[in-house]
Amino acid sequence: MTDHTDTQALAAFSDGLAAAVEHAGKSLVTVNARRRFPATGIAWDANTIITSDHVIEREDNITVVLPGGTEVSATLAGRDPGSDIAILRVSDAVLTPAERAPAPAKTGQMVLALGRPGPGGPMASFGVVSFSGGPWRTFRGAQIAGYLRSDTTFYPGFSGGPLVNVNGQVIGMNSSKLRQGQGLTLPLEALESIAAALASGGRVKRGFLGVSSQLVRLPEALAATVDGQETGLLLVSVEAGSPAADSLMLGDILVSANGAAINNTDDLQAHLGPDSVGKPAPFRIFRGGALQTVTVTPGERQ
Amino acid sequence: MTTATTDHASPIDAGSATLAARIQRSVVAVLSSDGAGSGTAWRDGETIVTNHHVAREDSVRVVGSDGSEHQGRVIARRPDHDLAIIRVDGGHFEPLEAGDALDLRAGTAVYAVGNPWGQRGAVTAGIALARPVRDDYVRADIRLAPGNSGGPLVDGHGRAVGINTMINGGMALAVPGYLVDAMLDDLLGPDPTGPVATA
Repeated sequence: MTDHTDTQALAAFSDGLAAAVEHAGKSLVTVNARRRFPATGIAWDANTIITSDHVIEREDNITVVLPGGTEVSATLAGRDPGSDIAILRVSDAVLTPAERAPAPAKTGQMVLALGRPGPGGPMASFGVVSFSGGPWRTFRGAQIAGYLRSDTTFYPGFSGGPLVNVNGQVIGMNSSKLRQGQGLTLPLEALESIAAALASGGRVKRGFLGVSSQLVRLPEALAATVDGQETGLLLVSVEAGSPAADSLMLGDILVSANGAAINNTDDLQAHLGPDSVGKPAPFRIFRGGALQTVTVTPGERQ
Repeated sequence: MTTATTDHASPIDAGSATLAARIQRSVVAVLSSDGAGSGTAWRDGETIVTNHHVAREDSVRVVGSDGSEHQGRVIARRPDHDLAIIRVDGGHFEPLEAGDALDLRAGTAVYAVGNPWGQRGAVTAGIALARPVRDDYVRADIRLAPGNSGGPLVDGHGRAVGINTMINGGMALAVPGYLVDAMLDDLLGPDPTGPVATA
């Protein structure tokens, strides 16, 4: 027989994980908004659900199944394909809002990826936070404050579900679609800000210039005039009639915007966030070997 | 670079190692002319449970965790549950304590021991993926490989809750232990040491 005193701490740890799943499970719903397989959503407040945008294949006839098994209809209150986040609303305050983790995720921290893609109760995969990354840009152009990667498994229907700590508190939302199918977790901080923008405006604005660019190394003589900055963005096309068309030209090299260096395309995207739309901004460029400052007013990406 | 060492593992780590060693003593290798898998000592010292697909022949070789070799014969099969019962006359295997698969909760720690890729007594750990449903597989978030088939899925309290049978999309599927017990009850009569049922 097993020596029970030896394994008591393990048994307590095991019971703790199950309790964490149950605690977080009170805030997990099944999202029915696509043909083949339901997904998961997180109760964000009493009548708001946050989920993955890619699991919303239809904008009408969306239903969610509450933890108790009741199915209610939901409306799409906002969506942002760029960050793969969507907000659903139910008419009555029937949800138990998810408890948020008090501190940002740490590498090595033990976590559970949770889903509720069916009627059998919450499902869970165990692992640790493998690393947390800094600002990044999705392949659709959204700039996101950070991301988490863990060695949990996102089983079918886990998209839109949370990554939780061992107390069942949410530290992020999982998407199997972001980063070309490798899957990652959007951290709580990014969720809060995007959810707030979506809840108020229905969608997140993205700035738009209408240019294509290539990363180029600045010749030493030019670099010396911009505090030794080594790289910039060479404009290889400027769309006619676009926000950039009045002030930027093919062949210009962008080196800064709003006084901050542009070393690469991520730096440029950082200047095209929700607040940039319609706001004139100074861009420093090399044109014909001379440093100039031009004013560009980003439009809104449609 | 220096490495910190300590003689005192954390209580959870120590418990994990104790549990793994305990499970290993109940797991055997089941060898036949068409392959190798695992088997689990169940209920008494002479009874080994494995998968039907591991012991397709009625005569198999059983290798204990101590390396001892035995001749075993299949005394019952349930191909629909992918279960087979092997009798090793004169065997002294150490059966695991039985648990009820239906008591598992999503998140409960689970362990598997088996012979993946021919490696004897390999241990993996994970969690129950979901609360099990009656007469369905126990699903677990745990890494298994071919050769784990027939080995036990054990909960964090050291109780056998299933026989590892399949891998599907990264998740482990185990035949619940109560189906093993039902089969043994039919074959050998009710377990005199089993839990007392009240009605």
